[in-house]
Amino acid sequence: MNRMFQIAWREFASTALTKGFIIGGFVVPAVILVVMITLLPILLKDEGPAIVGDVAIIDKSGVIAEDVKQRLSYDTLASATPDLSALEVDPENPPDAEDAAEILSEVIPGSVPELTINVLDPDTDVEAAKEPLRVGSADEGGLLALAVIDENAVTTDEADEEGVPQFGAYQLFVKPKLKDKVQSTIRRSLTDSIRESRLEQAGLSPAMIDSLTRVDAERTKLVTEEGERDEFEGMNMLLPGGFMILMMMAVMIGGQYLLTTTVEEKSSRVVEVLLSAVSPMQLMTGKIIGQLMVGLLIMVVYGGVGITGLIFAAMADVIEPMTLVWLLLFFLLAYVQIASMMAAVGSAVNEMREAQSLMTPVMAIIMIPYLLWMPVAMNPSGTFAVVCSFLPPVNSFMMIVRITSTEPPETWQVLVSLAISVVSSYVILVGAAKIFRVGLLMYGKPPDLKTLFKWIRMA
Amino acid sequence: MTDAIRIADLHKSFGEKRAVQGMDLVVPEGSLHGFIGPNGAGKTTTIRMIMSIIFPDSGELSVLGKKSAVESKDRIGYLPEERGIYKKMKVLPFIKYMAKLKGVTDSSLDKRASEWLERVGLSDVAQKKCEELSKGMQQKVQFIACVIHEPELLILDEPFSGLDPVNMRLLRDLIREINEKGTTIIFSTHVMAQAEQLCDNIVMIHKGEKVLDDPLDAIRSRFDPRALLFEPMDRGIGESELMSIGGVTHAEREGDSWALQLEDGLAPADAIAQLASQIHALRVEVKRPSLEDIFVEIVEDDFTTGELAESLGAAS
Repeated sequence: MNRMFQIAWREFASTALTKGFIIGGFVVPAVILVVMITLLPILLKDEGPAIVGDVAIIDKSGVIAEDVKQRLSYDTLASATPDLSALEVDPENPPDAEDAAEILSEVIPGSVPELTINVLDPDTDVEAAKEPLRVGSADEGGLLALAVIDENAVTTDEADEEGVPQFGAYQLFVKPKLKDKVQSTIRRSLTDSIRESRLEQAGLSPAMIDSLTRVDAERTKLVTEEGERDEFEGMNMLLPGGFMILMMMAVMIGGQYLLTTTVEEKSSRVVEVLLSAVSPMQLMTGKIIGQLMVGLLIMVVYGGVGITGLIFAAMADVIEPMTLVWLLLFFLLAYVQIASMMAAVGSAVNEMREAQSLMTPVMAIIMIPYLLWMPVAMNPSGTFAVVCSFLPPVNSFMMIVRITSTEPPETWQVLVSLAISVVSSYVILVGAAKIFRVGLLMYGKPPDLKTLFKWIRMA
Repeated sequence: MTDAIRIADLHKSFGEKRAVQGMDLVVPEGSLHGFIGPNGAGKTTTIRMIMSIIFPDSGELSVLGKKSAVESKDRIGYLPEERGIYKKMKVLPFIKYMAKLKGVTDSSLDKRASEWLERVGLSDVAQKKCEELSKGMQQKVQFIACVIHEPELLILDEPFSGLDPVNMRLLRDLIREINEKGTTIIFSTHVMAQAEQLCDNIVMIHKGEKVLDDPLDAIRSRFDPRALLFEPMDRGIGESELMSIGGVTHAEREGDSWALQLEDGLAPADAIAQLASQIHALRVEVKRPSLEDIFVEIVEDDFTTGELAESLGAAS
């Protein structure tokens, strides 16, 4: 036992206690995170110089040009653009993902465009009016856009068979490189202006219509034994995905390192020296434990950051403590399966390059959960999800997705899946140990899958 | 005296290739055995089976009184032919790590490791990474790693390959010293001169079979070629003059000297007296067969008879 831990410790130390690992695994992501949090808002706020230029309007309807001019004036636009510093989030009632996106889109615009509106004669030739748009690009100023409002945009004589009036609309011509934001501001002004003019023509109050058509419901509340809380709809998919990816990342990184160190020990021929002191099984187990610690370290650090984030967002209660216990158990089993396969592949080849072809099936096992995550998370209690969570070797990943979903499986299902994982881990471990023993001292042509199965039977 | 290693009728095949066939071997405790044989003879395979790194197809094996070396790994030191080193590890930690894997737990480990490094002249590189060392230095580190736990049985597979003459001598002295302290040592080599300089006993392996297993003296006397090495003062002496001496059946030039084959029944001492009385000698001595001669003789015999027959058999 002591020896196994000696090997495990060396494996851990030589992988995780290196500058490369600490910098690449923790320092760089931390720096990126800090930069994102501190610099991103500043960068987003600073949008470059404001747009300055002309917008021409040919108003054939003759009723809305002045209104549009008013809506696009600098003062109106400036007062409609909220200041970032004015943004306050109520900690008692934090915005959900959708609200946040909306708030952001309103905050981002930054500088207000300075548009000069020229209302042209309704009889102006449209083609001639377009001419200035063909020269240069939007950042040079001049005429930026030409709006042509149809004659029947507000009042119309046409109607369909049922007597519902058929209106015209407007056309917008813009210069190349005009910012999307400015374009949509112009379009919104035109649309709003036309809509309100039509309502007034029909003798209706726009405010009244607005109030009649708007339904402001409160956020969905989740009612539990402990009380009520806001339901985070985005979380239903995000949380299982987050857990699965965390688990996968830890399994992958630990497994990948295991493969590398095994190939290294074999190609540097240090392995025979080791085998004179320990048995192949001790060596493999020691290495697996060592890299397990690496995987756990990654999981604790990244998972810890995630949970801390949730605590700050006052959403920590979406994770139940038992979930973390299951995560740990399923991680252990999934890790043992992938790691044993990696060790077997590593022992069978002479250098990393040769490992690629044997890695394909192992990689497939890791990729399958990615593909299954969405269908399982969308319908976590469906037959498909249940079958997936019992199917080795992906059942561990799928079960975690189900456990963290909004419809957690019954405990007996979790226990059955756990048992399946234990059995398949054992089978894979024993098979891998056989390949490991034969492979370690086998040099020369790298074996194919068929040969590996032969080794399992032989040993 | 008990036996350190006892092997009976050991067989091992790798697919079609029979690497070891019907090996019997007894290595008494405290002896210094040399395994010699051409490349691919089965030396390493035999050693690996002794170490329980690979397992024999059939046959019996006992190491230090146990059925398998697994049970007595801590009492064995093993320097494999394919010896590697953790490139990124520092020298002293590497030696200590290997010692710990061999079950050394006592606090004197640090001291012992430093003493050994000093012994082989590597104390100044103790904190350097292994990859920064020359190949010869690495080899000395590996040697320390396999003796640091003071084994009762030391198995060295080609320990001298890649060493310069100075280090070769150092290693030879170390091996002898360890042996004198009572450690049983087996080492394999394909350089016969090394075995000749070091071993009490020679085991020659050829094509997976043991073809020779005797003390060095016995081998020499058995392969006595009955020849004298004679260097005349007068370089002008020719073959006819040498052949005229009674008892000389054949004379062949070897550089400045002549190898004289003597007829059966003639004592070398008499021949020397006779020779010296007739031609002034600068040097005259009984020609001792080198292990290399014996080796080549055995291998060639086999090659001319066995190999030929085999290839003929395959052709027909």
